[in-house]
Amino acid sequence: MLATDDPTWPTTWTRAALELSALALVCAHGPTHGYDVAKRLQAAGLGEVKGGTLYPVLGRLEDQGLLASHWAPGDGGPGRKVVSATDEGRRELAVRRARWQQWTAAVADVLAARPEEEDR
Amino acid sequence: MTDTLSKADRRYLEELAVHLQLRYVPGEQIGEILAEAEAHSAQSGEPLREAFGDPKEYAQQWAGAPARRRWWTAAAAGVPSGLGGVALAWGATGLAMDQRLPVLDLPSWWLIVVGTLLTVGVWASVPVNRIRDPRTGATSGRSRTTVVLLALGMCATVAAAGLVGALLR
Repeated sequence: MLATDDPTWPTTWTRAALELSALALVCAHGPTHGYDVAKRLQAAGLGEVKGGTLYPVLGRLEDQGLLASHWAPGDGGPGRKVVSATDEGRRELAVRRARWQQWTAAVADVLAARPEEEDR
Repeated sequence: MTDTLSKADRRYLEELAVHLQLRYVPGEQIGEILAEAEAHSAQSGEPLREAFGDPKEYAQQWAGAPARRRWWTAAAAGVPSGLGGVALAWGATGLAMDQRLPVLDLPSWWLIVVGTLLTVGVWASVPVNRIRDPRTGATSGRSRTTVVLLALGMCATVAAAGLVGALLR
C-alpha cells in the first residue's frame, strides 16, 4: 500500500523513468560517471538507485549508440568509466522528452478524472 | 581487480564473473562490468552485494535469459569428447592387461593415440572467453595454450596409468 509521505517510489515507476532520466542527466552534466548519475537521480528526488539497476541501463544506452564511454585513471582508487552523450543521444533525448511529456500529460488527464457525481 | 578490495567483494566479483561467463557474455564486456562495479563500490563505500544485489541476478540483467547453445553445437564438442574419453580408458585398460583391439587387431596404445587426438582436438577448438580488464588491458582466465596443455596432461595421466598397470603385470 502506498502512503503519500513515503520517501521511496514504486520500483515500476523508477524503472519506467530511469533510462530517459539517466540520458537527460548525462546530456546535461556529462562527461560524467555512473556514481555521479546515481547521486544526481537521488538529489532530484527519484530515490536511491542502486548500482545493480543503473549500470545495465547505462549499458543499454551505450549499446543504442546514445552514450559513449572511455576509462579514466582514478584518484587513488580503481579507474572509472566516463560516459558522455553522443550527438545521436542528444537528438534522441529531444524526441523521447517530448514523447514522455505527452505521456505524462495524458496520464495526468486520466488521473484528474473524478466520478461524475462529484462534479454535480 | 585491485588489492584494496575486501574479501567479500573479491568473492562477489569472482562469482559475478562465473555467472556472466555461464551466460556467454563476451570476456571484454565482463571485464567492463566487473571494473565498473568495483569503481562504483570504491566511490560509494557500499559493499558490492549491497549495491548490486545477488551476483546471479545481476549477471542476468546483462545477459537476459541464460543463453542456450544450439544442441548441435553442444553435440559437436560433447560427442568427440565423450568418444575420446572412452578410447583413452579402453586403451589404458587394454595396455595394462596386454590386450589387442578386437576386430582391428591393433595394439591398445592405438586407442590412446586416437583418444588423445580427439580430446586435444575438442579442447583446442572450443571458444576461450578471456576476461579483459579495461583499466589495465590485463587478461585473466585460461589461454588456449593452457587449455590444450591441460588436456594433454590429462591424456598423459591416463596413458601413464595404463603403462604402470602393464609394468606391474
